[in-house]
Amino acid sequence: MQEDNKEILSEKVRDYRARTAALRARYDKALTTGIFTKDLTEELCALQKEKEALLTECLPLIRRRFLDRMDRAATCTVLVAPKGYQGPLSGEFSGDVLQEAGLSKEELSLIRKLEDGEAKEAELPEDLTEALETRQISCYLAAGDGTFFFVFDEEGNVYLAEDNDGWQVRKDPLFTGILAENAIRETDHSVLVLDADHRVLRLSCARILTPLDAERLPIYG
Amino acid sequence: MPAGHTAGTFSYRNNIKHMRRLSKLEQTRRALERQQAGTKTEQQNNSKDTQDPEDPVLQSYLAYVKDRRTAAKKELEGLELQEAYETYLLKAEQEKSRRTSVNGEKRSTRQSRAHALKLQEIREKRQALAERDPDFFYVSNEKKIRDALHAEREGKLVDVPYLVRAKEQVFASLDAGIPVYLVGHLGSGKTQLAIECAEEYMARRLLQKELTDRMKEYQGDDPYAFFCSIYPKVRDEVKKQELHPYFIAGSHNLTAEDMFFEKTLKLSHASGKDSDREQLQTLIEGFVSFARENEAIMKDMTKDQQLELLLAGWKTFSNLYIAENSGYGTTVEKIEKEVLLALREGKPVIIDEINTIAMANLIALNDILQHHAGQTAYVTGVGSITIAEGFCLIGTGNLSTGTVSYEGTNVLNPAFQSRFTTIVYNYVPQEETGDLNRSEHPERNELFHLLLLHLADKDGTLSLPEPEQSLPALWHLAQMARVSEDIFEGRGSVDTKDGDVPVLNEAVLSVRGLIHVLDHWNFGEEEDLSMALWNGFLSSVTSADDRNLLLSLAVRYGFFTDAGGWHVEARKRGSAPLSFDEIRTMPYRHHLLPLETLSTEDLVHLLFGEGPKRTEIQKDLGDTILFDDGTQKDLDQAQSLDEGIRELEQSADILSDAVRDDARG
Repeated sequence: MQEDNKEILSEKVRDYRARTAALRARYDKALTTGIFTKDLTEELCALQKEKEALLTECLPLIRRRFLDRMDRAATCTVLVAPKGYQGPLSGEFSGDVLQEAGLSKEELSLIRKLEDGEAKEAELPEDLTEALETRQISCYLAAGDGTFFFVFDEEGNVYLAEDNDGWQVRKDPLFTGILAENAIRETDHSVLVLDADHRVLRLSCARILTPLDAERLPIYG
Repeated sequence: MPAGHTAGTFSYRNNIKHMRRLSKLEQTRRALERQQAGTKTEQQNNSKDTQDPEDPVLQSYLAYVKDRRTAAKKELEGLELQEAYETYLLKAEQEKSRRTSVNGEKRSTRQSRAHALKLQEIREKRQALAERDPDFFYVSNEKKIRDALHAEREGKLVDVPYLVRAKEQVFASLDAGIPVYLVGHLGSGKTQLAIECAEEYMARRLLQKELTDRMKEYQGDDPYAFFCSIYPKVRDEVKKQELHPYFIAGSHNLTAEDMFFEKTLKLSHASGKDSDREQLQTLIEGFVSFARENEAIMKDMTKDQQLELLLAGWKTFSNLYIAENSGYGTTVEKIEKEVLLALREGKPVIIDEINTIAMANLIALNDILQHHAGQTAYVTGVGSITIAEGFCLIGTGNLSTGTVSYEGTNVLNPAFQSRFTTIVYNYVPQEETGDLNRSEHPERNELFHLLLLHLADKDGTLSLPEPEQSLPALWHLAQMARVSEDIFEGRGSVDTKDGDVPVLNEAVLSVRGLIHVLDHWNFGEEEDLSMALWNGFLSSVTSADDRNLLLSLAVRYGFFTDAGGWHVEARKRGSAPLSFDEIRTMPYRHHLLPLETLSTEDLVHLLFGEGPKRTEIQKDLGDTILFDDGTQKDLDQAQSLDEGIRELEQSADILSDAVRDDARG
């Protein structure tokens, strides 16, 4: 974000904060009379709209702030595994045939692409590549959509990279021990991976994608 | 606490759910007052919907209200003193202008207008305070109740607004030197009003005089402070004075002489040993005095001539003395009567039922009526007499209308009546429709107020059997009385079933009648209100049509119900009067209900409404008490707003952190 824009955004946030404080003061006064006039509700609505707008605009900054701090709720789910796999499964390979029970059409479609090798390796933006090099992460595979990537290195680590007004890579890996042969983006917070054990894994994490996600963030700690 | 956050941000403020609602605190406070008032009756402690009396927030709130009321009382007293001071100055100024004016009437001056303006400001301030400050509203109305109860105990009229306005009209006229003629219907209280106005008129004059005399002695530079120090004592001294006007009961055979003087034969001496000796002594002293006066003439006479002269002189002297005092001496004496006494002494005189006196006799008052104090009026048989300061005349009379004719009354000669200010004083106002809980202007239901004040205890509390039932019943009684008064005055708007306009010729449920009914009722000790209405009023109504109509009215207002063992059928005009046996369907059995005591605060709100809401609270309770109007909707709205603002505050923190972190890089 350019300096001018940052300054403007800071100004907007300061203004929003001041108006919120003023509304609180007016509400406190209304408490003393028991009379809550229409303009209080109107100002509340206006500020709620302003809040949405500001949170949307500040999402990259918020994500920047929380990239390393927040528990990203990183989850690895085994979707498909060969016969004999003991863990929970959505589907099952029977020989070379993929059992379809429990898998949605979209999941099936993506899995077939993985299987067939159609999933293309994502092209990483230049500045992300630079960022990875700076961090000395040797990336051999990545899956994402251009705003985020799950980056796989040769040690089995999976890193989260986000474009938060400049590419950032989360300091600690989200996952470890994942040796991926192929990976494909599933949603804006998950990828499907075909690992060396011929399992299809879903790797997902929590992301701050909407103002509502941002509002739910803890402030302290 | 993280840096950048201060106490009072959303995380640290009292959640609205934990705040105490003001409506609940008020409810508890009033319940506690009621409990305290009810210790003398069989009242139970009803602690439903109230808070724990030991709750520290409640205790704090109670102490706060107590302090506020003490302060409000002081403020009221201060305003009353200011008002008394400005009234004193205004009257002094008006008196000064009256003495120096050409025609002896007061004139408006710059100074008197300044005092009048100041008085207006004080009254407006008082009114504004009562509309804004709940504690001032309470203390000022509580004082009105105490004054009313004091008046009740003294047998005086209660100062409801209708009465106060009438009194002000009377005083304005008397102050201007114009006599007053109070007219109205029976039982309205005209005579009592005339007496009280006359007494108050005398008291006001005496108070003004005493204050003037004392203020003259003051030489300092803060006359207001001095006034404040003397006024309460002077006022109390004047109150203790027995000030009574002269009173003449009018009748058709009252003559002019009866009003001014009467001639009487007075026995100067009565028969008896002592009076005989006294008479002889007087005779001898008289003769000796006569002889001494003529000593010079007798000196030139011989002794025989002197003796002969003395004997002849004694004979003549004693004969003349006896002739003059024949039969032990009766003399003709003129005894001054009320009007003359009032004129000479400067006191008010009331002529009650003035319109029963023959016009030929009333004319004797003409010259007095058109002159003021200080001027000379001519009285037939007496001569010129100077009207003393303080004299005034109030006449009262019943007002015959198209429907009501008072036997023995005349219509006053218009020329005679024009010398008076005629003030119509009838029945006090009362809403005739609607119910007690939905009255928009409770202060206008003056008749209902009179009933409650008549029933109130001297400490300002009111004990009633089951108030939830008694109060509406009393309200309906007041409404019924007012409608009967309207009909009696010829303003009946209640149509009978036949479409006739109702008429009452002789009977009306006036205040006098209502008091009888209430005294019979005696708080439901032996009879309910319907029975009291019958025994205390309706049974003594002799006119059949009047009784039948009044019974129908009573049924319309909820009395004499079928469920209560009554049945009142509507009867046409000209029918026989309904008797007790005809309207009672079963033997009467009374159920005695327990008395509950309403506090003085309850009485204030019954008579004057709820008053203004509390909008301030002491600082240390500010975060603990939620100002509400007692409804859940209000609370929900407040809660919703609070939650909304909390979310905004939380977002504001997130956004501020985001831009700040970015600034740090």
